[in-house]
Amino acid sequence: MEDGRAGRTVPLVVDDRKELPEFRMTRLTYFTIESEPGLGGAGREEEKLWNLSNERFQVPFLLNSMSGVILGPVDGSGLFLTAASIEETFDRIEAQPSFYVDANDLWLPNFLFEKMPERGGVYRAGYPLFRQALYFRADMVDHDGFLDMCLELSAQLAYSEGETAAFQSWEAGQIEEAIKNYHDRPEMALKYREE
Amino acid sequence: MSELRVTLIDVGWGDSILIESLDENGKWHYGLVDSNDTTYLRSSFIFLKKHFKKRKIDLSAQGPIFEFVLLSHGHDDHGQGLKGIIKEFGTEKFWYPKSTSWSSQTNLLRYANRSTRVGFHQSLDKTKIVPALGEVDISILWPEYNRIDRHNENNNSVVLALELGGVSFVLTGDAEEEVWSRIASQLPANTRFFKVPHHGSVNGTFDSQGNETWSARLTQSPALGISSHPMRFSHPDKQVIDLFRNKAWPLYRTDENYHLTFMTDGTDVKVKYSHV
Repeated sequence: MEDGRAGRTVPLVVDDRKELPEFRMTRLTYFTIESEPGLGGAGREEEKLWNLSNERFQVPFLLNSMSGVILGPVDGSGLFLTAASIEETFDRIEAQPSFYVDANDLWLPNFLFEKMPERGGVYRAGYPLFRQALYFRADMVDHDGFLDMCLELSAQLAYSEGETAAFQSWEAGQIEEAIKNYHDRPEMALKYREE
Repeated sequence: MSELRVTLIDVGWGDSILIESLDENGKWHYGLVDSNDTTYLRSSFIFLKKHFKKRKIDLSAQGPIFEFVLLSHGHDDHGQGLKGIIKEFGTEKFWYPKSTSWSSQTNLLRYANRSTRVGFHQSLDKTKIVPALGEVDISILWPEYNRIDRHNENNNSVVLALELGGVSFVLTGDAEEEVWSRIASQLPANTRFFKVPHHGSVNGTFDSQGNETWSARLTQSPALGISSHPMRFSHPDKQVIDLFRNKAWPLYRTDENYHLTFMTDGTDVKVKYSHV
């Protein structure tokens, strides 16, 4: 995916914002591909050989647990601009045996955001900024050191208007599906109190 | 003899609460509230895996382990990792409060919509009758029907009362002062364990005038548990800790006492923890 912004940035969804005296940061979610241990178990057809390679070496390996950060849609178009592209990407990943999409969080200082970040808003972070945020989340860099680094990297965060609309549309679709599931099986639903 | 156990799993940050109910026939029933597992730190998953192994539960069996899993509200530090936990252990029911924005938790809702590891899922509010967990009665104190806080997701937290015999345990999510101003008067008089709301933040326990909220209503010197956030936010706040010290209420914290288990047989309450 070298042809678009997704090749260089990570999509982040706003979860919560803190404005405490000692902590002024926004929590954001990124999506990952996770695999279950064993990748389907020995002898299974789906147990495939993978390769780690660059121009100088190639190492074959059997995948046994991994995590990877999702950068963009499966069609290689770079950005998640429709709910369908999110859905298709997640579907295609989860169609692989033992793979599933999960969510992880990180923090970015509020001063990086041009306007107050709203829950559900989507931003794109450059790799260096994303990497520093991962280090901070894993307590590998202290609070003040992280803020200093973010000041240097402040140009690496951009609001993604089209993706915000796409993720909100995707969310609305999932809620609609949940409501339909609920109405399709009324015998399973909790009863109401009579008061 | 029936028993209720509530374990605040030390997840370092956020909440994850295992609820266990032993019925008179010697059968354990399981529920889970929240998790905060990440790729790097799967605290709840590992705890649960070890715990169920200790209980000699066959995890390879297809049936769900949990009778319910509850997402208290839609914040990452309460919903992260639930998908992986449900994938592994399965649940008959998955519950959550209504929210205007699922945001980062939409992937979890998507999973519930299509996975066979979730028997049924729906939103909760205080008009719903929740089935007992073994012999433990469950009632929803919050949220009210169709009442959604559009500005503060913490105030969409489900507040649960678990009752066995003459003892109630109350789980509070991250509910803040707006919630307590409406339901503090409804807290069970026999509350003997109370999960301190919002990790011990000031706004989880005091109102904007500095008056205590829920704690002013409890009379039986309850055991308190806090899923602490000492890093980052300094939760629990000193003002909150001082309040409990002044009342001489027994206080247990995941950052000091590791996993905390509060137990009752319907009469007495005991606390078990790993270290101080």
